[in-house]
Amino acid sequence: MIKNQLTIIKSSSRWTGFDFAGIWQYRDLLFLLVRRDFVAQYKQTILGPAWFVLHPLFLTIIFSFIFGEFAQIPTESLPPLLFYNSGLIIWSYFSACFTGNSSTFIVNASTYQKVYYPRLINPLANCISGLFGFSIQGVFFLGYFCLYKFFIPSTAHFEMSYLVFILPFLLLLVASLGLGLGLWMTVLTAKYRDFSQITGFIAQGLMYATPIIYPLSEVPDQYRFWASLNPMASVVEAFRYALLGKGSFSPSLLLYSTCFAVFVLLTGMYLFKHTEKRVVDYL
Amino acid sequence: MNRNYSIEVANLSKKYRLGTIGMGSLKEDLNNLWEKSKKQKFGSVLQNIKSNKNLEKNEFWALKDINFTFKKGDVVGIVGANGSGKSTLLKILSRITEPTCGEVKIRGKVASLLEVGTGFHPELTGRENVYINGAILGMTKSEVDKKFDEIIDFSGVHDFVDTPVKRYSSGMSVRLGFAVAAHLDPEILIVDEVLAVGDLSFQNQCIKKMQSIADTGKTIFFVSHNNHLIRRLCEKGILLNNGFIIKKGSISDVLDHYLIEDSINTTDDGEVIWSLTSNELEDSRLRLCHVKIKEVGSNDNNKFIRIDQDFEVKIQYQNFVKNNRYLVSMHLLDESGNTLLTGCNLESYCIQKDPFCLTPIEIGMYETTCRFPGKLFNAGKYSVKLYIVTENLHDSIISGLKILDFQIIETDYMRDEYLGVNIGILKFKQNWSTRKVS
Repeated sequence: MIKNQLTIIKSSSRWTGFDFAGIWQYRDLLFLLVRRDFVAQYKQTILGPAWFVLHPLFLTIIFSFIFGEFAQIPTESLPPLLFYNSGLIIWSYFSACFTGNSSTFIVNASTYQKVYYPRLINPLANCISGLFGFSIQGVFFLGYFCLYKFFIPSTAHFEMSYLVFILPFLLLLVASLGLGLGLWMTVLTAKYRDFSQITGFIAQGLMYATPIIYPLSEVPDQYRFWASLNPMASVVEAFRYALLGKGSFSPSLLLYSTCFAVFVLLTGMYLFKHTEKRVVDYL
Repeated sequence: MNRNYSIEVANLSKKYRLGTIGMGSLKEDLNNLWEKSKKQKFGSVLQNIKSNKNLEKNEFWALKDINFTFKKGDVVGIVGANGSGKSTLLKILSRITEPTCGEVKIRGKVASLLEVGTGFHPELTGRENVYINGAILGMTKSEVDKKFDEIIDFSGVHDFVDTPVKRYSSGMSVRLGFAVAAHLDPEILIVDEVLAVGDLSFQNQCIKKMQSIADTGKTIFFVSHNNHLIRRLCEKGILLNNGFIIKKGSISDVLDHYLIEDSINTTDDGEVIWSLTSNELEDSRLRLCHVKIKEVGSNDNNKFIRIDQDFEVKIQYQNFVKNNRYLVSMHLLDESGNTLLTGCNLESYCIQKDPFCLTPIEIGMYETTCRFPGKLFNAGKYSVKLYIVTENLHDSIISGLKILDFQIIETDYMRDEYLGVNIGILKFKQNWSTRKVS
């Protein structure tokens, strides 16, 4: 750290820009927080990080029964496990970014009241540590993939598409969407606690509005437009298309999602910065 | 701009809103927003400034027009009663919350120990927490690496470094927390009442550490209600009251001012006179006129009382109502504001009955005297609080007004053989004897 640097503290009613330099200064904290999230989550558990895998697996199995067996919702002729699991892991990353960040101010209140550091570090750390969970789940997904491809005889035909290269972009998109919406929610919950309830509704509602338990192609035509308005819809479809070759890949809808993500992220960061200055006064 | 200063605070103010912000205030907020947008359309800039200056009904100033400058190496004690704005000031200095207006210029890294152990995660080990805590306080990982052994040495939790912090005793986590913060190496250290926790030996260790930090030319802001500690550690001070700076300068001046807070500084001749127009003491029944302290047998008032002399405090007051009855009571306080003694002129307290106590008196001027024995209190600074109540004992006319301060000074009394400093509040001849038992 530079010695004798000059810090000026004053009421910043005018917009002063994002404090990226500050975040860079505290990059070690970012790294340590990511590590902490990862390590602390499974301390004093027997299965430890295995929960990262078991959690979506259980859900996948439940979905396979309820939506696949009972409700007979088609899975684009894919093995149900692969169909649901692919949707779930990308969704759970979004959910980690969104719900995980939606109460940043409240969760960290006791620290924020005592110490200053760029507050955006916490949501960023959440997004990055979510990525670790996603990676583990991704590796296991590949395991299921190979299992179905090579060991379990099935009539289903599926293969990875060349679009697998856009995965990093999709992840970035999901992270931006989750972070942006999460920042909006944390700003609102800081002031009005009602929004912490609303976050749960939104997350759940959005999950059913997103083609995770059904393919977008099964949505009746008159609702198709509305379903595509959900920025996560095209992302999940593209994700599935990249990994399994089924689903839809719509560049225009992805462009829409990208614009949506950029808008939500920038406004979210703006509101977050505006709130963090005085948030301890009313936490 | 003077490069010599370490911190410069100009016109700093902070406004808070009273009450809770909940469901009700969403409507309020929307209303405010509506009003604002209307104002911006029709109102002038002038109006905006005006509305900014005026306090709305549920707002108050936690800090108002704070100005000070301190150089590198200054150790500054911040004193004031609860709610005087100390913590708000520290929060602004450590960038936790923004001021409403005004500006702070800080040269160098600031570290605040507003509460040690902040951000400790109970599930993580001491080692992991030291790294995270260091990072939260602004250290890089390599800086912590370098100081890790020192930190652990200082905290004395060697054997528990790899144990989750939730298994620590509260003392251990406080020690570890302070150790991390103390090794931050900031240019400016802000310490808020952290030494209240931890045992005596640890407190001494902390004080030593803070002294050594101060010796290396760092600026330290220290908030504590322990006036002895402040006097020991700090050279300069700020006294806050209701958000205003009442006094700044050398710590002894500030503390002296603080300790006799709301009273008047007694002049060296041991006399305080209230003018006829002093409205703080306005009462239609009785007016306090005059207080003095002197050694018994001496004709002159003097606030310096020799340790072996009896002394008396005389209070003069004027009664305006015929047949009113009064009880006069005094509290004697030490330098830190501890009450040492309470007394009044009730019969059971008096060696000789005071004929004017709680008896109807004529209109006129009265003087009540309380005589204290010499050879009882040790040398030091003391102050007197006055209470005057009417007959039903609940209707107080003067309640806890600090009327006087005085000093008991050393003489040769009990000094023949011993040359050191006598500590303690009392000093009187004691009954000592030794006999051979076997």
